[in-house]
Amino acid sequence: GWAAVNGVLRRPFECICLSVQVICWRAAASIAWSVLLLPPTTAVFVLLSKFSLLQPIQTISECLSLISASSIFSFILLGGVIVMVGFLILEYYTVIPTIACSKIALLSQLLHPRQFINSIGHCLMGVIVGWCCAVTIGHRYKMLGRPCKISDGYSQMCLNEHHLIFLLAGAFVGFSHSLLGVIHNINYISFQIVQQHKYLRFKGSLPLVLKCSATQAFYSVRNYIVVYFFLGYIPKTWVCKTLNLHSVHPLDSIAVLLDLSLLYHLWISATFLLFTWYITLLLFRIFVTEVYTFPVQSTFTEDSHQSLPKVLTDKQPMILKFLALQDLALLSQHSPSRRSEVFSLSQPGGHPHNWNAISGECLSLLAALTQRLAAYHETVATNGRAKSLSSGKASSQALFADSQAHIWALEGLSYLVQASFTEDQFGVVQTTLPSILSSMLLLQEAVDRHFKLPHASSKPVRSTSSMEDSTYKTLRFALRATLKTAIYRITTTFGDHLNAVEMSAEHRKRLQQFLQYKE
Amino acid sequence: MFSCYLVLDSSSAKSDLAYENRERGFTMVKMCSLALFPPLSYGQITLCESNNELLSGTSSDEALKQDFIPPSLHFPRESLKLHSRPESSSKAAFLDHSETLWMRSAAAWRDGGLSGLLNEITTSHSEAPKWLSVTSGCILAVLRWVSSFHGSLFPHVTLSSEDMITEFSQVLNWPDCVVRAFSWHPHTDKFAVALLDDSIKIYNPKSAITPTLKHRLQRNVAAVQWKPLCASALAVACQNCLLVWHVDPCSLSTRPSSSCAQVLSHPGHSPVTSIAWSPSGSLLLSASPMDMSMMVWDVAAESCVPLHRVGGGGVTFLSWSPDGSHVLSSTPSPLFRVWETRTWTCERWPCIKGRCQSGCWSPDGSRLLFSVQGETVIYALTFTGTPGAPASGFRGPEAAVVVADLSETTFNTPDGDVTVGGEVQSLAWDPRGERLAVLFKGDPQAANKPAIVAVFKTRANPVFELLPCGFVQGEPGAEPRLMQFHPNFRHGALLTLCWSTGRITHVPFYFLSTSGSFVGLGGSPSLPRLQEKPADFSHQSLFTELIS
Repeated sequence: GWAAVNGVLRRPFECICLSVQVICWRAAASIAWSVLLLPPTTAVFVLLSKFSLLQPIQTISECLSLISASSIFSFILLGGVIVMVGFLILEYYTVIPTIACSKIALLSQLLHPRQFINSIGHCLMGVIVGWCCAVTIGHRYKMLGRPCKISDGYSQMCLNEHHLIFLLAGAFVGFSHSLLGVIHNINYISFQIVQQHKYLRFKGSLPLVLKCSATQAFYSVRNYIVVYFFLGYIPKTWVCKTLNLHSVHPLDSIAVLLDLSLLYHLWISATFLLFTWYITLLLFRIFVTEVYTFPVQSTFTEDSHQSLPKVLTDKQPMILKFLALQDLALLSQHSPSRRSEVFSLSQPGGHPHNWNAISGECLSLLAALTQRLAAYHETVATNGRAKSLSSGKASSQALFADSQAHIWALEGLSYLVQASFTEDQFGVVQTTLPSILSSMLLLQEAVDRHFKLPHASSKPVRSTSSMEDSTYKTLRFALRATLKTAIYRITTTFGDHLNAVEMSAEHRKRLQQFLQYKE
Repeated sequence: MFSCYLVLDSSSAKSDLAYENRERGFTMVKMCSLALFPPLSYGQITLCESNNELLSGTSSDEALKQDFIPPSLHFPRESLKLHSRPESSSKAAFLDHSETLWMRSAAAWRDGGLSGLLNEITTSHSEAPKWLSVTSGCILAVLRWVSSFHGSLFPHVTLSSEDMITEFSQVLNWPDCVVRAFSWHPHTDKFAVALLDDSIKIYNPKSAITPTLKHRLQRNVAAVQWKPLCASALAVACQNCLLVWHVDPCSLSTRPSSSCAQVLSHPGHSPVTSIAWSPSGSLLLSASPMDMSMMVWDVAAESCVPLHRVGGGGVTFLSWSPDGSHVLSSTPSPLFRVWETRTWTCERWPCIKGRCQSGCWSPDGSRLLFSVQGETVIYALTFTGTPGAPASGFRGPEAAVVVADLSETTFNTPDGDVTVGGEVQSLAWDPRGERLAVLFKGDPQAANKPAIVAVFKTRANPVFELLPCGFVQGEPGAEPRLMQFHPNFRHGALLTLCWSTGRITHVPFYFLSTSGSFVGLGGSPSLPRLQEKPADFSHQSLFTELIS
C-alpha cells in the first residue's frame, strides 16, 4: 500500500539522484582531469610556438619570460573554456546516435536551434582560445591595435590584422569543429569491448587524439585561409568602424597570407585548440563509459532504486540503462557470486523477483527490436525496391542505432542461462527458458530477413584518422554475430535436453539446425 | 607406490625463473627423466592407448578401425602446386622506370612507408635535386642506424617475415611443412588444414564436400582456429593480416569466394604468428612479433583495441585458458605475461634463459604448463581462487614449479642408440586434462636424435600428478611437426598429428575419465566403447604436487 505510493512519488527524484551520483560526478571528474592536463599541454604549445631553430637558447628565455600577469589571465581563461566545453559535451552527449538518413535530414539537424546554440558556443570559445594563443605567441600578434604613422606625420592607432586573423581563426575552427561534430556524430559515446583501466585507455588513445587534432587543424586552417582571402574584408571593416581604427597594409593579398610563419602559428594554435577539446571529449567518454557496479539486491529499502533490476527497467536516463545492461552482461559472464543473487528467491515470499525483472526487461528489448525490424521490412515491401535502394544503408544503421543494448541483453541472458545449468538451485531460469529461446529465434529470423535486403550487408568505410566513433555503423553486424553466439551458447550447454522444452514445430526445426551446428 | 621426486629447500634451489613486481618463493623439484617411460619400440607405429598401455604395430592399417576415429589423410608434397612468388626485392625489375620521380615516390611511400620513400629518392639521384637526394640519404642512414640499434635490443626484428614465423611458430620446421596449420572445430568433427601452397581445406566426415579456401592475402599461414560457439567462422593468421572465413556448413560450394572472408589488418601488425579466440566466441586475439601490442578484435565490427605493453619487443604466442579467465602471451624476449581477461591487466613473468616457447592450460584454467627455450623442463603456474570473486579472493601464482625434467635420455634399440628429450617445441593438453603431449625439437643434424612426441598422464584431483604414458611414433622417417587434441572425443583423448611426410594421423587414447563428466560443454557424454580396467598403479608418478 503506502510503500508503492511512496515509491511512485519518490521515483523522479531518485532517478535524478542516481544520475547525479553517477553521471555528473563522472563528468566532473573528467572535466577536472582535462583542466589538470592543461598546464603541460600549454607548455608544449608555448615551446612549439616560440621554437626557433637558429636560436634555441633564446626560445627558452622567451618561454620563461611568459610568466606574467597577462599570460596567467589567459591561462585562467583557457581553463574556463575547458570547463565550458565539458559542460557542452555533458549536455549534448548521447549513447544512441542520431543517424541522418538523407541529406535533408542532416541539414535540418545542422540548423536545429539546439545545434545552433552549440555552434555559437563553440565559436565564442574558439575566439577566446584564439585570443589566448595570440597573446601567448606575442610579437606581432599581441594587440588588436598598434600605433602607426599615417603619411602626414602624426601617429594614430591602426588595426593589427595579425591579431584579428587569430581571433577569426579561433571562431572558424570552433565553428567547423561543431559542424563536423554533427556530421561525424561526435557526441555519440560507444562502449568498449574490453574493460581496461581508465589510465591505460587514455594512454592508448592519446596518439590518435594528437594525430586527429593535427590533421583536422591543417584542413581547418587551409579552409580558413581561403575564406579569409575572399570574405575577410567584412569583419575587418566592421572592426575598424566599431573601434575607430585605421587599416593599412591589408593582408588579403596571397603573398602575405602565405607567410609561412603565420601559417605555422595558425596551424599550431588550431591544433592546440582541437587537442584540448578532444582531450576533454576523450576523458568524458572514458569516465562515463566506465563499468558501474549496481547492487543486484538492495540491502536496504532506501537504495532499492539503485538496484540493477530497478535501473534496468527505468526508461530514463538512457545512459543509466546502458550502464546497467553493461553491468548485467559482465556479471553474467564473470561473477558467480552476483549470478547467484540473480537466481535467488525473495525473502519472504520465495519469488524470483530479480530474475523475473532482469529477464523480462531483456526479453522486451529483444521483442521491440524484432517488431521494429518486421515493421521496417513491411515498409520496404510495400514501397518497393526503388525507395529502399535510395536510403538503404543509413536507415539500416538507424534501425540498429541502439543495438548495443540488445547485444548486452543477449549476452546477459545467454550467459545466465548457461550458468543456470549448474548454478540455478531453484530452477528459476527453467520457467523462462522457452520464452527466451523463442524470442531469440524470432529475432534471428527477423535479422536474417533484414540482412537479405540490399545494402544491409554492405560494410561501411572505416575512417581511422578522426575522433569519430564509427561503432554505430557496424552495430548490426555485431548484433547478428552476438545473437548467433547466444543461441549456440544455450544449445551447446543444454544439448539434447532442449528437446524437452516446449516450442513450436518451426522453432524446433530451427533449433535442431543449431544443435547440429549447421547455422 | 614408488615415487621419485625430491623437493629441495626453496632458498638453496636455483631456478631459471626470476620474478619481479612482488616477492615470490620458488620450488624446484628434482624429478626422474624420460627414462621412466616405456622403452621405444623402434620401427613400430603407435596405434592407440588401451588398457593403460600404448599399442603399436608395423603399419597404420593395423589400427582398430573405429568409425568414430577420422581416417588419416595424406598430402604428398608433389601433389601441391607450389607457385613461385615474386620477391619484394625483384620488384624493381618490373617497375616501370619511365614514371616520373613523383609517381615512383608516391608508390614507394604507399608500399614501403617512409624508408621506402627515402630509399626511392636516394637511389634516383640522377633525377632528384642533389640536396634532396643527399638529405634523404642522410635521414635513411640515421634511420638504419636507429633500427640496427633496435635490432641489437631485439634481434628478431631483423628477421624476414617467413623466418620470424619459423622461429616463433608452434609447428616444428614450419617452412618445410606440407601441413602448416591444423585446427579441429570445437564442437563438431570437422577440421581445417592449411597447406604449403597457402590453401586451406576443410574436411567434414559427414560431408563429401571439401571446401578449399584461397585468398590473395592468404600467404604464409602460421595458425588457423575455429571460432567457438559458431559453425562457420575460421580465423587465419596470415603474413600481412588476419582473415576470418565464413564457410557456410550447408553450402555445396567447393571454392568459397574471397568475399566470404573478412580481412582484419592493423598497421605494423604483421606477420601474425598466433591467434586465439576467447572460449565464449566473442573476441579474437592476435599477436605479431613486430608489434608490442596484442590486438583484441571485435570481428563483427572489424575493429580492434590494441593492448600495448612496453617490454618484450613483440608478442609471439597466445593461449587462452579454456575457462576464459586468463591469457598467456609470450614475447621474443625472456619474458611472458599472463593476462586476466576481466580488466585486461597482466602479470609479468621474466625468465632467465630464454623466451616462453609454448604453453597449455588445464581445462578449468587453474593451471598453466609452459616450456622455456633453452631449458629441458616443463614449468607449472597454479592459479587459485576464481577471478569472478572479489579481488581479495583471487590470488595469482607465487612461483613457477618445475613439474617435469625432460633432459635427454638414450634408449637402446636394435637399430642403435636413440636419444630423446631436450627442448620442447610445443605442448598440448587434452580437453579433459588427462593426457599431456610434448613435442620435442630433436636435433635435425643428428640422425639418432629425432623429433618425437612424448605423452604424459596427468591428473588434477586430488593432487596434481604427472605419470609417464609413452612415446608416439609414426612411420619410419616421418617426423612429427604439429599436434592437437580433439576438443570433444568421447572415449578418452584423440591426438591428431601432422607428419613431415604430409600425413595426418589420429592416435586415440582410450581411458575412463577420472573426473567423471566432461568439463567442457556438449551434453552428457556417452559411455566409451572400449572399457578399461581401473588404473594400473605399477606406473610411477613423475610429479606429485605437495599440499602444504
